[in-house]
Amino acid sequence: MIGLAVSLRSVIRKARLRVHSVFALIDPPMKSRLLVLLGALIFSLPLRSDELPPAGRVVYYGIFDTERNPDLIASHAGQGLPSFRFVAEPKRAGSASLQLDIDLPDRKAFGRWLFPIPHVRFRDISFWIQTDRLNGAKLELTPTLLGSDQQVFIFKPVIVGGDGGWQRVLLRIPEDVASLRNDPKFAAIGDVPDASLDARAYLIFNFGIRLAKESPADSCSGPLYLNQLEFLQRKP
Amino acid sequence: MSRKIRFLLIVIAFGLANSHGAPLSVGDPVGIRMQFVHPDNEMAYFIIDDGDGRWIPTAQGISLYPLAFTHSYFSPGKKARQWRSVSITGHLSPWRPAPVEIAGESLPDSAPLPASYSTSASPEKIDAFPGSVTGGSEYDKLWIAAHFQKLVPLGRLQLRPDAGFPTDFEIETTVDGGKNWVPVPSARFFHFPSPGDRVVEIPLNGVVADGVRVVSFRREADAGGKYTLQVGGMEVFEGAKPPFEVSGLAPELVATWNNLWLTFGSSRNEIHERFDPTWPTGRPYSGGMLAILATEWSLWNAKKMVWCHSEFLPRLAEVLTAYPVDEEGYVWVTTTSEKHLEHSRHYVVAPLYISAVSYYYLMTRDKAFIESKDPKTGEPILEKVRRAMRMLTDGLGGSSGLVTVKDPEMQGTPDSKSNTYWDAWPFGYQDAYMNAHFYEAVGSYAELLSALGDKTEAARFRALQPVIKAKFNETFWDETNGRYIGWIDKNGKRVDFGFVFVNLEAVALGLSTPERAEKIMEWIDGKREVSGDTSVGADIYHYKIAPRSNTLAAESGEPGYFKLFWNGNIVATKDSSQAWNLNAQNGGIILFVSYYDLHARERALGPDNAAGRMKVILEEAVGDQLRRMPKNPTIGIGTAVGILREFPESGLVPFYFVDGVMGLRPSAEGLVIAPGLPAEWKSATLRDFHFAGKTWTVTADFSAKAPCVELSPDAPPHLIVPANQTTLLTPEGTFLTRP
Repeated sequence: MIGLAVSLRSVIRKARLRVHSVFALIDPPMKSRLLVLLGALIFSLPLRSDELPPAGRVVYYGIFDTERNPDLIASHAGQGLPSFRFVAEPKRAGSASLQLDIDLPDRKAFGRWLFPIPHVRFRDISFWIQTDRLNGAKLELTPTLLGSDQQVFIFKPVIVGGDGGWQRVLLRIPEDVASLRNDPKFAAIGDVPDASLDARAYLIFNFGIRLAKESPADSCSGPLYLNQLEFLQRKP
Repeated sequence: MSRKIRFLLIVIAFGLANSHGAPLSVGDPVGIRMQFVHPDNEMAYFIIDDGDGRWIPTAQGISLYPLAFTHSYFSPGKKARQWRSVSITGHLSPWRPAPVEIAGESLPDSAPLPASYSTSASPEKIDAFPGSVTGGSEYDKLWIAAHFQKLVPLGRLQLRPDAGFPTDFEIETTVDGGKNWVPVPSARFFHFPSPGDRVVEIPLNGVVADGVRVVSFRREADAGGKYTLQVGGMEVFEGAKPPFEVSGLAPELVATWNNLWLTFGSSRNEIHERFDPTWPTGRPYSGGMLAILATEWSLWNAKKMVWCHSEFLPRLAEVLTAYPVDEEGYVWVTTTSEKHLEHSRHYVVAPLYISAVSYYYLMTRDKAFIESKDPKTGEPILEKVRRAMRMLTDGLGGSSGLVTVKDPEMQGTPDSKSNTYWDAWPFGYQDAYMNAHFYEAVGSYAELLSALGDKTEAARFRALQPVIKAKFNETFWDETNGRYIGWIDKNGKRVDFGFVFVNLEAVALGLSTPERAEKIMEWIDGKREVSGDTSVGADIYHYKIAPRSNTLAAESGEPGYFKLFWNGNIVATKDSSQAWNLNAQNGGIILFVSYYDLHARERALGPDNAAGRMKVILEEAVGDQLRRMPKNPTIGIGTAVGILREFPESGLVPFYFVDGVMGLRPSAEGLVIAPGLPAEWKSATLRDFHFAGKTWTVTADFSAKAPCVELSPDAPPHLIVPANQTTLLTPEGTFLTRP
């Protein structure tokens, strides 16, 4: 046994020396990466010892702030939306609303609103919308999450408008979608350019806007209001 | 892999404090390296419990990447320092110990700035700290502000917890008494854990302001159902003096000038994805950056990083040494890529690289740098520079005074690719932009050779500069339009879309005769209209902070001259997403062009005119620090204005203080100080300026009759020069007046 132990110790020492001498040849950035990898292997631990936030709470939110120039925050109107701005009124709650001036001259017309968010874990997205000034038109919203690595997650379309007042839209990512990056549940979209999405550690939440099939109006033009864009905690 | 395992954390913690072994003293910067990986690599910030009663939170970054951070102590002793990481959804890492021992004597307590206070509920200033403010709903914007008697550089903000402490908050500052507030991006926190009895100390890195406020955009209801922002105390401590000081310019504009440097120069208060101010930094936290370490940016990087001896300067030296230069002398666009965005070869990189290496050496006189060798090939950097210059003079015909790009892909025709930074336009063949930078590189290279003792070669290149200048004017001047064209294609076609940036750079670099420079500035100032131009008159400065890149819409000419993105698949047409005014290169702006605009004005129209232009920029920046990225309504992302994120060259605009106002430019003999102060200023001072291994404070003063140096034990030597004379500061630290 003692002989075996000595042999083993010798083997380990030689291996350590070899590893050490190989390590000395590696340039510092690569060494750092290897250390990270080694650290990951050695210190991979379950989350049990850490504190997890409770599920269902707001973990991130969109700030619509009248004191800020819309160009300064991460909100954008897209095609089919001639302009967007902040308005103090009407408002659903304490904060200002975001006004999107849409113009859908026919049933084929299409608009889009974009909201970039940092890389953040969440399960639900919630926002409030008011379409009172669209002459009773019903809108079909097709929300999507554009992720890094040219992936997109498409939510089930929702119909808004027609009934008046503020409506809450709640969007849920299916339970089996664990991550918004590198997840096979996300479809790859080949026509999304590398230049705009690749390797960026944030997501873009957006929704396409068109007239719903059941809309009594064949066109609409005017403002709709958004408020309280919230991202809610996914279950651990 | 099971769902449970997918949620397991990979925890990597390297609490490597002070591994250099040297004793750390009170007041010294104390380093700490932190790394923690949250689930899904969420954005996260760190909190350092310094073991001395303070929590110091950092800026956010992707939690995969390590952060090297420095802080300091005011008292000696063994400190039970520890740190943790907080993701922006509130996931907390455990505390990681990082103990440290500090030597020396305790520093005397510094007094906080005297302040008055106001809140979102009571905007009137009061002397007593209000402690809390309550809103009507969870999304009411609530704030508590501290106001100071004057504009001061803010070092650190201390927030004391009371019965409560905000969980989601950010810090904003003002330079105009609270009319406009702008965010400090590095001080934005989500799900901030309760600090208990610790003081939360937020680094502000010298942002100049006369007010600071804690802002809460959202909060949960308290036990009584109220939505309250509560802070026990708020004290602000003055930081080091800012780099730029002017007597004769409104204080809020001087403050803004300094803050523009903080945003787009050092970018110390910005959020960087990888806790690193060099590329990449993405939305939604788009802000200022220090550098893109690609060759095309190398001269701009050198200008931004050398004078202030940036902590990232070694990295710049490393890449300058490592950029591959092939056998023909072609310089790669990055250390790993021959082509810009893997798309096109940029021959313009060669002169920019030569100028960058020359500038770096002439400013630092760092022998180790100029003797450094390519890490892969072992070739000395100077030999690489020589070969790049040989490509320009011999391979591309530059010894005749005109460089001609022979690459079949860069022939200046609509189906050609771009040769330059302005990558939507097919600059190439005989290209004014490249030839202007060739002129600049020949001048810089001559200074470098002279500084290194090769007077014969230096003289040869000095003699080449007037040849290039004459050829440039002969080749690219358009007498009808009174401006330089962009390029001549392989078929001899002269292409002119009113390239403002080409003309401003030509004037700024001294290529124009005074008459032509004046004509150019008349056109850009809108005093002279060019027939057929899309933009004329005041509309050229539609965006105020910079002139439009071009004055003739790309779509008004032959189709195909303007192609963008994805290997040129998007062509500017009247109805396209990159039509006039929708792209920064087609009727939009890129802020850094203002740097050349300022220099062109100083050279052609005088310092008063340049200062007037800078004043417009500063007045615009007071309200928003130029954090602008207006949307392109057709595609929803910002393409018309280039200021943030991948435009670290925006920092050249505040840098104009260094080589424009102070007129500090390196030459073979030393540092030429040729101030460009407007007549209405009395003096201007630049602090922490590094030249030839020494640190200086430099003042240009109209009342000074001769250069002199003031010495004090605790500060760098203060060189005071007459504002209306040229002074030479030698590498040895002596100075003499030049005629």
